Amino acid sequence: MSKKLVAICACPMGLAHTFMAAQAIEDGAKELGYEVKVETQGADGIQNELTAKDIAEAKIIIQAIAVTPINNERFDAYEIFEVDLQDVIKDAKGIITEIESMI
Amino acid sequence: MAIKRREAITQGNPEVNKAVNKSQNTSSNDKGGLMKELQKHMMTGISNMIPFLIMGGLILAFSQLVLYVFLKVDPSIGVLDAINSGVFTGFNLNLLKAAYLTESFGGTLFGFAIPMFAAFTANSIAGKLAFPAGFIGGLIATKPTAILNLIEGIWTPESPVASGFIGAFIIAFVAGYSIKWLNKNIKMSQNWLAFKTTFLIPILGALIVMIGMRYIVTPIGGFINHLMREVLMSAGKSGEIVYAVVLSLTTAIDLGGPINKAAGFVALPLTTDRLLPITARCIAIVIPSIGLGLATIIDKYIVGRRVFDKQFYPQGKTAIFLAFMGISEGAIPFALERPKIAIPSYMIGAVVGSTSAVLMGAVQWFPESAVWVWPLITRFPTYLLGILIGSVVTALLVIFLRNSEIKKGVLKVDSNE
Repeated sequence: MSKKLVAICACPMGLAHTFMAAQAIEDGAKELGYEVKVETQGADGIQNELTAKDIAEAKIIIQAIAVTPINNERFDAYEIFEVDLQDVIKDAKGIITEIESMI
Repeated sequence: MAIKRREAITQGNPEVNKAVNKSQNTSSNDKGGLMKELQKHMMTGISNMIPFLIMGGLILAFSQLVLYVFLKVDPSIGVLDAINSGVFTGFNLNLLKAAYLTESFGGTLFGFAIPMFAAFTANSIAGKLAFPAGFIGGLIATKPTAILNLIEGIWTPESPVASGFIGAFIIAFVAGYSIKWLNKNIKMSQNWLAFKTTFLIPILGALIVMIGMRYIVTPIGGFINHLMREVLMSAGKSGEIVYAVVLSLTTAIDLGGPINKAAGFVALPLTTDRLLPITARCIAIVIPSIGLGLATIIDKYIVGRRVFDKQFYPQGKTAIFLAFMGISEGAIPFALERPKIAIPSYMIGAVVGSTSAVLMGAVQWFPESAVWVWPLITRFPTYLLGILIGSVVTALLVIFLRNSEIKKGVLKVDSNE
């Protein structure tokens, strides 16, 4: 099984940053050979929701957030890496590599 | 780059300790994290408040459109007075009745924005138990409970000055953190957990909010509000200009980000109370997107070449379209690509445009920048002129700055031309 990365993105308006960050993480993670799933909590509600199984299987869990995500208790039992939305939009690959070195 | 590592809170079976440990799940150990943490809670509140502002604002705007644009009623007359004036009959009277309905409905909806802010901020800090405490705190910040005064031997209820958004802001954090603290520090055996979460913490939380609002937050917040009003009113025209400059700068700077939202949070009560119009903010929201979009259209005529990568050209047009819907996020790709050029350019454009519109006498009381509230603007041509001036300034600055960087070889563009 390939290594898995899950992420959750949420910004205050839920119009732009959320989806730009989600796209950046997906692209960056794929480039580094991850199987990736990104949940977005935007103005259109929760899309592509992460299940308990997704979270349990993931090697890396990223929260790219500027607000507290809905159903945050899901992540209580796991190690989370919280990052700024702006940073992942600029350089998602760099962030993921840096997280890899922290594990 | 700031990466914050958050350790797992519950070990092993996550279900067992969930209720007890929930409140800890956003605690952070690093020092710089505190500001960030506070900001995140506040943004969660603002994020949930915004739908109320949009819905309420749109419905409220409809009533004003009917009254002052379609029926051309004098601006000093309200809906109810217009209905009772006897001037309007038949269809126009029914239209006025509809305006009355939308005004009271929209006003009620609008009034829930601040309570929702406080509720979701508290909820973000300490979870479900803090939600009602924050909500009631926010509601009392907008509509304070009456205080009994002895007037001529009779105890009479009197409403104090509302503490408004200042009060809501304080009580949301006080309620959130005190409930978080109680939840963490009151330790009881598993058998007493129900007692703690269904009786003890709710009653303590409610008491904290009730007493805190009555004796501390309402008096202090009300006083600050009163003082702020006095200062702004006495400053007159020069005060308006300073306000316009500050408001447009803080609105434009991060294109709908945290600073922008905080600025809106301050400006909103001033405009809903008809104290200071929100004109500068409405203009500053649209200028960055229109200006940068304009730059993608006119660059080849000004400096004779394309100054952006080719993928920016369709994005420029999208940004202009979004701006007319009152959304500033369309400009974000430009700001990210070359922040040192884009951000100062559109901030200068926003200040110049907003301030000149305000100087020329444009007045907008509705916190909405989209095209459909344009009919409500006093001296609309000057408003439009302000947007135009600001956008042109932004566009020219961006084009010339980029062009000089391209000439110096600092910046390379792939424009296929």
